[in-house]
Amino acid sequence: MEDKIFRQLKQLKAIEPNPLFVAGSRRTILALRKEEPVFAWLNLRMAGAMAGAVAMVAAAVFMFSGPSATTALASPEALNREFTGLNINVELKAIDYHQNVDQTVSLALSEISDNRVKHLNKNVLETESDNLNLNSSTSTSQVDDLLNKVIF
Amino acid sequence: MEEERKLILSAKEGKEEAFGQLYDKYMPAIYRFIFLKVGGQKAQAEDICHEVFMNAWQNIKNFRFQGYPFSSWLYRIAGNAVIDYYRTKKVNVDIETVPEDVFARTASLGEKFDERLDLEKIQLCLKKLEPSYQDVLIMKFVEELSNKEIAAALEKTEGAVRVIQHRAIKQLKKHLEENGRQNIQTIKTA
Repeated sequence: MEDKIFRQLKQLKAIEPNPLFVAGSRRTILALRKEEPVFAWLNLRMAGAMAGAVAMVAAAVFMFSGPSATTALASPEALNREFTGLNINVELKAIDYHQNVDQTVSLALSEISDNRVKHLNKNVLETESDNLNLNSSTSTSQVDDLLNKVIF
Repeated sequence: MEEERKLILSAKEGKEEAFGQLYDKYMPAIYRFIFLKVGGQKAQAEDICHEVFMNAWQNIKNFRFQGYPFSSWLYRIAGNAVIDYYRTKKVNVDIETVPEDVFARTASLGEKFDERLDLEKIQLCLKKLEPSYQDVLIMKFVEELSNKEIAAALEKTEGAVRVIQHRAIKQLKKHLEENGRQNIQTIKTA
């Protein structure tokens, strides 16, 4: 049976395309390619020209953008010169200030919250305030006399 | 082979005459392959075939000699075009309906009525096979390509091609037997 199948399959080789279709298709296909290289060539040339122009502009910018840009990378001296001009000191001072402020503020807060410090102790201050006799009629001369007695 | 190489090189340079000769040489085989793959739909086969050679002509500059024949490259384009055709068109070809003109063209090989029936039957059964089975049977037994050429066209190893060929024949035989039984039953019920 296999031989019969192979024979029948071989007979399918007799299938042929329509000659009119073949001629028309061939003509159309070959005509199509004829026009294409013109555009392909133009595109290729244009793309090449654009790439060249971009490369030239990039090279020009790199070469003529000033000596610092080109030499800084090459020598450490040039790098030092560049850094001298920077206001890095100002920034260091600012950092120092912020650190000190933090320390001062934290100290003040701890003192305020601590009742053991006498001059800030609320109870002591209130007692002293009560003992003050603001309406006293003691004159300045009397005060002086008392002081003289105490001192001498 | 050397002659073909020259033609390909000329075609790669854009010479229409060279590609025209390649077209004349390979067009009938590629058409047949597509025709059988699309279930004998003449118009579709012509459209796809035209597309295949247009594609080949536009991309021949990218063709590289890699030890396999030019025909394998064309079959690969044709195979992809058929896949695209089925994917995009969502065609549901009725495998029981084969255009009459197919057999009108094949009638020259055997005027006998039985022979024509056999051809019709084998084409219907071929269409029932898996696509890769169809590819191998058409390339091997219709176009008489070597396993190496088929392997290159299908991007498979020669061993894989032999395995597919074996399974394809087995399956085709089974379909032919089933078809024969159905015909007998049809005759009996009639």
